[in-house]
Amino acid sequence: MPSSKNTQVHTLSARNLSCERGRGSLFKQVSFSLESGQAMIVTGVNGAGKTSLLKIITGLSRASEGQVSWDAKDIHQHPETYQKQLLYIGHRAAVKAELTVRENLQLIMRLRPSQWQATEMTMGLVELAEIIGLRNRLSVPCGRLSAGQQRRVALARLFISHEKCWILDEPLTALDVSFIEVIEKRIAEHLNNAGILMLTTHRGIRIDDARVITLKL
Amino acid sequence: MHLFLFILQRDLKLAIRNRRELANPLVFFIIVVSLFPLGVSPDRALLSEIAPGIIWVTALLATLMSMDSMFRSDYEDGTLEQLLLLPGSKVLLILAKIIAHWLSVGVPLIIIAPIMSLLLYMPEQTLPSLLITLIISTPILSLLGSLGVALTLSLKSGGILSSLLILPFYIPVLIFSTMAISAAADYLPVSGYYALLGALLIMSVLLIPFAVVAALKVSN
Amino acid sequence: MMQFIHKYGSPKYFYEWSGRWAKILTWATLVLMAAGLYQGLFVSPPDYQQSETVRIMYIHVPSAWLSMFTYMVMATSGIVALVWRIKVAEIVVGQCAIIGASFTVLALVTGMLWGKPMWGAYWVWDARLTSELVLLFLYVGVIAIYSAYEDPRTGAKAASILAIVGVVNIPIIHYSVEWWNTLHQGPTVTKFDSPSAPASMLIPLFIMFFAFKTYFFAILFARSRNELLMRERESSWVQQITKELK
Repeated sequence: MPSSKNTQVHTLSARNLSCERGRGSLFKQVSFSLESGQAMIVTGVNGAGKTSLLKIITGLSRASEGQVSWDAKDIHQHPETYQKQLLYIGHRAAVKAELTVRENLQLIMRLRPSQWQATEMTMGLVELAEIIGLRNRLSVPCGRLSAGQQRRVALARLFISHEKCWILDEPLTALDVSFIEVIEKRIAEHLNNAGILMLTTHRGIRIDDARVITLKL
Repeated sequence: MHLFLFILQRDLKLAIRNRRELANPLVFFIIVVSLFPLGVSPDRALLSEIAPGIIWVTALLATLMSMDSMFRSDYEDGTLEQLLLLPGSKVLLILAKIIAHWLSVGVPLIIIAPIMSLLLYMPEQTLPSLLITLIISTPILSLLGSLGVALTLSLKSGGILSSLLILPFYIPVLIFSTMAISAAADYLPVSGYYALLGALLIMSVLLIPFAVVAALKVSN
Repeated sequence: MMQFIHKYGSPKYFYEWSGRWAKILTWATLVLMAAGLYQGLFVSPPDYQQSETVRIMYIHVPSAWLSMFTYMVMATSGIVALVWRIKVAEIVVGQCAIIGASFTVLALVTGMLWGKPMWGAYWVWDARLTSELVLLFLYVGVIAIYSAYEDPRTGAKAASILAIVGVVNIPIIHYSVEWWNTLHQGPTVTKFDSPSAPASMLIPLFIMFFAFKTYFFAILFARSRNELLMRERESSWVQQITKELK
């Protein structure tokens, strides 16, 4: 498993974020601050704006007001430092249906931001497939996998990630109980390695209570 | 392997896996060109005079039709988000996607066009100019078309709107290309037109990808 | 520079100073229009070639010129909107698109009315009219993309990108249409420079230029203020104004 080489403390903070959509506003004046080793679970009813908030935190969208900072620097003015440490897994799996499991994993291993830090590949493709339980399906086009299996491919990113900031939108959708456990273990490892986590979920997720902050939209 | 080549290779692979859809713009091109003799007149002199225009306008429309596939699949399955979150400049990556698209759509068009030109009685001496203008200009069409798609990616009525936005920008390309072919028909010099089109190509390659990246950020 | 933009761009401040200027400009427009039209329609001499119909020029040429100018303002506003994310600039982009399209339509219609007695046809594919037509397409594109987005701020960003790309393309399109036109020996509707026009024709023309310009700014400010009130209706300064009006 990748281990952290630096023990630098990071902070992810948001100040007075407001999001307007058309007629009204989704949320106003959202502020928080997360430090290495902390996790935030964002809750709220459907349509409350959880996905929008996460997108704003990643920098994909912009809030109508307010600021997001990584290590005290605005993420839009210093995007590179943040993006190098950011792993985002959105609602949609980012898995290409026409490509096989092997090809999608190759893509994932090639595209991940921490590649840019020229860290050596600490895991092989087959090993990664083994972890997500799809070693026997390497040549299957992902379009033919079940929803749960596709999500496993999407979550493979977590197992090769050196990034310190994870932002996950409904990561546990369609997963079965045994794999959820695997994910929870990986998350605990990430937080132990001074990682930061922000996620939304409809199902419960087991994370050490001491580390968790809940944000209700 | 540099990320640029990686993305180029990936997109080409995806295009090959989806090759049935690639054929659609080509079939469109063939059918629409054939409509003109049917709708106007099969008169040889008339057709050979308006042939460059017919081929070119139809090529424009066929290119526009094929554009939607450029970003839509990546947008819908979330891959585009991942690309946009990569540190560093995304301009080269987007350029890789556009090149891959041109290779899979523009190049077949260039290959089929001379055959269609036979149907329209285009004189032989115009064949080189037809090919050269297509080779220089179809990348410009792909570049501009991708801007239209990028601007309308998140909209429901995306396809037709993006065509409306981009067609006016196609006009200079259309004019210079057809003028080149008409000049070639009269054995007049064409190199000036090629130079102009080449200049447009260079400008587009240098500037449009930046606009496309900006538009993709808006659409996400 | 940044502070300048932020100060003049802040919605409340913009509302106030544009309100003052809108009034001044409206009066200026009325005066200039009256003077220009009087000069143009009654005082200036009929052209020896085109007789009375040349008078359409006093409306056609300024509106064509303004249609171009409006695009420049729109593109500049688009840059400000994209780079500094100023709400007022976003509104201006949208309004310029509508106003510019109107000028273009006016130029086209007056061009057609001018063409009919001259050339016997309402429409001729001369370089100037064709360029105006393409300009109209560009404006319609900007309007279409602006309104296609539900969220007006996103729509403004997309429209700004399109406007900026358009502004780079306009000279290219003009050039290519000119070239196309000379090659096909088309007629020219709007040449009035040979023989060179006498002062009695130029003076009303310049007056009309200024009249159209002040009209443009007056209507831009008036419409932008309106839209600004609509968009900012939740904010305190707008609530204040509506209270005072009651």
